[in-house]
Amino acid sequence: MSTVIQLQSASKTYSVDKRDITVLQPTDLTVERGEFIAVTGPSGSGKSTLLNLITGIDHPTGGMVIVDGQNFGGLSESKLAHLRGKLVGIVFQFFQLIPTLTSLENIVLAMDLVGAIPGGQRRKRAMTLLEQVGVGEQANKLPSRLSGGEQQRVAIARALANDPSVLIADEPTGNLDSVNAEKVRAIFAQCAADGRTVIVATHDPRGLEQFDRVIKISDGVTTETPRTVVSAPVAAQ
Amino acid sequence: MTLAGLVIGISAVIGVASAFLILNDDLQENFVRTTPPNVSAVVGELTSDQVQRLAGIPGVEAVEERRATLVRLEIRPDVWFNTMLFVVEDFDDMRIATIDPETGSWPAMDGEVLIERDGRYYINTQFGEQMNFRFSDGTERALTYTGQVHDAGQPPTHMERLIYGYITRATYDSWGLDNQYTRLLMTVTDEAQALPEPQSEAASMHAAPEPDSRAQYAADHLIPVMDFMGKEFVTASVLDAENHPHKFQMVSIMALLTGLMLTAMTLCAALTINLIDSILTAEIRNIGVMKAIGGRHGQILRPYLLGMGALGGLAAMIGLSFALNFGRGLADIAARMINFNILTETDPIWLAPSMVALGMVIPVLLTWWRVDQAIRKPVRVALQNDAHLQTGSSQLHFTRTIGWIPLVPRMALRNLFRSPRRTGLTVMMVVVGIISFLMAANIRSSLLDTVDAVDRTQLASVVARTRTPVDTDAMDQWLTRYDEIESVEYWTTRMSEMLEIGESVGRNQAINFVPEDMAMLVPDMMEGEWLSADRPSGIVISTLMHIDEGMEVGDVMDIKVGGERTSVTVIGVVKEFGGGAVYGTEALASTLGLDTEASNAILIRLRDRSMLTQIRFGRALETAMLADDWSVFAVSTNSDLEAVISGHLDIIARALEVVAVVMLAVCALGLASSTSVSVIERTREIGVLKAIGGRGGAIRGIFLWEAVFVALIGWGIATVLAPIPSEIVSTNFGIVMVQYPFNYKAEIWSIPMAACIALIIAILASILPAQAAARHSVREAIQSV
Ligand SMILES: Nc1ncnc2c1ncn2[C@@H]1O[C@H](COP(=O)(O)OP(=O)(O)O)[C@@H](O)[C@H]1O
Ligand SMILES: [Mg+2]
Repeated sequence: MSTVIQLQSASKTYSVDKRDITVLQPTDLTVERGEFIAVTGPSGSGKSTLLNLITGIDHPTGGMVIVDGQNFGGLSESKLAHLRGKLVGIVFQFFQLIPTLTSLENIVLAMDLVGAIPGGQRRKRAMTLLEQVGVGEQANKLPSRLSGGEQQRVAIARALANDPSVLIADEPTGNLDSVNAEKVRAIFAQCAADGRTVIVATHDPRGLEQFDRVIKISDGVTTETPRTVVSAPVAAQ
Repeated sequence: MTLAGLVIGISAVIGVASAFLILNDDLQENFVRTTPPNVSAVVGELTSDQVQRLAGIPGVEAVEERRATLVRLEIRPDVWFNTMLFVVEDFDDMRIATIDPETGSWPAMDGEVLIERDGRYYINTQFGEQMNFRFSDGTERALTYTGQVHDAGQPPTHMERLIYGYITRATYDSWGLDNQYTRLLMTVTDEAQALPEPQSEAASMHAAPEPDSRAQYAADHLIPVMDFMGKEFVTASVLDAENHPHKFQMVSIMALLTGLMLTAMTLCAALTINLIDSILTAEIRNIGVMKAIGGRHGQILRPYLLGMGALGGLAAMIGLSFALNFGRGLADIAARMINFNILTETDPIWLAPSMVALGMVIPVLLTWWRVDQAIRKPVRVALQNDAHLQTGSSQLHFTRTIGWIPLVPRMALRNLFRSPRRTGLTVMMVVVGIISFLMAANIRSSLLDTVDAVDRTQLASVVARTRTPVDTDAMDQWLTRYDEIESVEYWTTRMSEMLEIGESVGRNQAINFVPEDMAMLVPDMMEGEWLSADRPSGIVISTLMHIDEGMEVGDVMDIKVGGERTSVTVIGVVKEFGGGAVYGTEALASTLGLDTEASNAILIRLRDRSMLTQIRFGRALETAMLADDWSVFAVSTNSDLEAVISGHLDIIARALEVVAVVMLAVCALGLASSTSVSVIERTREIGVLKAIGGRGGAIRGIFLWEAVFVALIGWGIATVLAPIPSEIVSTNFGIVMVQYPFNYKAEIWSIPMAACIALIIAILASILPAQAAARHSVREAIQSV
């Protein structure tokens, strides 16, 4: 197993009204390829902050973030965007599909922007991905014509468009009913089983048993519960 | 940027409005202040007592003698400019058609001449220096140039190519000219003023004219009065004392200004809507929240109205001094064009407050409209934030057909449909900008074509006019000395009086009687047809008479030449540059008892028609004819005519180019503001694009494509629409500037050029907003949900 993500005392401090508020205390974290990780904690605890540092959407105020051997700190915005597109697939809570593009086009756009997939294969690959997440029927519909669960599945297909090794999802089920939430969680589990590193943030303590690791975060402090400790009582039920 | 747009928009509206007011009032005031005559008449020589006695004609207020003689002024060695010398009986007691001193001395002493100020562009003489005048008999006399005056009653020199000079009666008498006629100017009493009660039934038939025909009555009455005095009656014309001779030009300028004002107003409104929409984008959720927690319509609306009102008021105050100066500037240019003075010293008191009010009312009304719509949205839709940016499936259906277009431009194209109103407004601004550009180009080419047309239709290179008819055979013989002549043609030109049927006085007009095989003029008919032998009593009039005098094809009238009278019919209108002209057949000349073998216009076509040759030949011919006692009084060349037209061309072309540049700049501003609003509206989407790997270039590309599409759509519409205003304006500009509608000719090259300009504007206008979009922080963008 090789290391894909490494945080070295990465921290985030905001200065609000001339007061510094540290929303993520210096954190060390090492993630290996193929791990299926949950980041959990109450609302406002710093889950999104942590994930944003990993995706390079946000920059740490202290420490370093290294993804696939690249130090995100030393890259230009443009380079970063490109790397992120290639290495990291992102799934948002509010789906964030481009409303003027069909499901298929949303996925093709992600490939067009990064250019990692050869032009001739993009449509076919997009279709395959949509079928994989079970929304092949909706390929030529606009996002506004899809249900929330369908939109989120299209969004996952988009996150997988450039075949990233890391998939990051911030509260992906937060806006879904339990049936759809279950389907989405199953897709993530499948992705992890396929060998991708998957990190999911959730404030919902349910269903944590399927993850390899659970990182708890509270007031910006991460504590990792060993897998056995988490899974054992669940398995016992 | 939107504040700048508001400032520009409001200032333009107020500026043009103030120019409008100043011009309208002042032109009229300038003209009326000169006490313009209602009647001008030529009668046998009268003493000043006899002149004063004419004031007794019922309805006549004042009578003044004002002789006039047409001479030529030497403005440069051997360069002569047509000049009208007016003989002023008493400079300090002018009651009709008055003039105002400007610079130099006043009044003119004997042997001195005052020149109308619009002639200053042509004369090269300083006060105190001699001016040389050549009379129609070829003799020359000198006067000392001592002052400049303003005569608001005359059409300007630069338009008529006629300088006006003013001399004393003693100066005139000392010349001992052979003139036994008196030119009279008369004014009539106000309509409101009652006429004396008729004393008898017989008198009542004469003395109870309709108020609006008092001038006509006075003119008609001169005939029996002259008869009674034993003096000759030559002619009398009723003049329009209400309207400046160039009021028409003035109205055309006004029309142009109104167009500019409307454009400014729409741009102002469009920019305001953009601003409101961009504010609302950020606010729509707040509005939804306020409604959700029970905010009432008025409560939500009020802060927006107050805010926009304050912003508009601020814009109005910032733009105020600019607007007033702009208005003054416009009025000054127009005033200089028609040679009158701006009399309004201070701007109307209500202008500043009304500008502020307008600045507040327009944005407030627009805000009301837009915010009201936003408030009416269901709470659910509002909370969904960018629900208004969703695309409907019908639009998807439309855009399916463009599936072959690469994804980014395809996306840009679909984005245009997300806020059709804003796209529409922006396209409209581009259309205005591009139309201005195309118009400038089309009108320029029309002007050039008009100059060319002079060459195509007026084949004579040089025209020599003589005071007395010459024998054409003898002249032919005399002209054989010039090798450079290609051909010669003889016309007979006579002054005539054109009488409307039933009227006893009419207008004086020169008629050209042309040979049947006329070759020197290639008639370019605007209406009807050219003269033919089948219709000996037909006449053809020039465009000026058609446009200014309202004569139409089919009009029947009497003409009087040298005592003979005959009835004629207008059979055609010929496009012709310059003053009014009338053409008749030689057969008509014979009917009027004229000898067509004796002509007074010699039209010469040269082998080498270059401008220089024409001018050299013209001067040599005049000198030689004078030396050999041909009674030549004017030699004009074709290039003189072209010089008049091209002289005006530069001014118009420059003015149009300035308008086009301003409009294109405003159009770029509009495009930029609309792109900015799009960027703000789609902040989150941009964040998502960057989050999934979109680099700066790709983000910029989307907005660039959108701007390019808007620009190209605007260009397409403008290309289709531009010919209409181009044609209207080129026709009217011609009439305004030179009393002649320019031939409309579209400039084909301007269309691809406009496309390039549209693209450049699109790129320039989207660079900054797109740059801003590319710089967005992804985290903030996504957080802005
Ligand atoms: N731009 C910001 N400025 C100041 N504080 C912020 C900012 N963004 C987030 N925070 C704070 O950081 C903390 C962690 O936020 P976040 O990572 O979004 O939590 P979570 O995703 O767990 O709900 C919260 O207390 C939030 O208020
Ligand atoms: Mg969060």
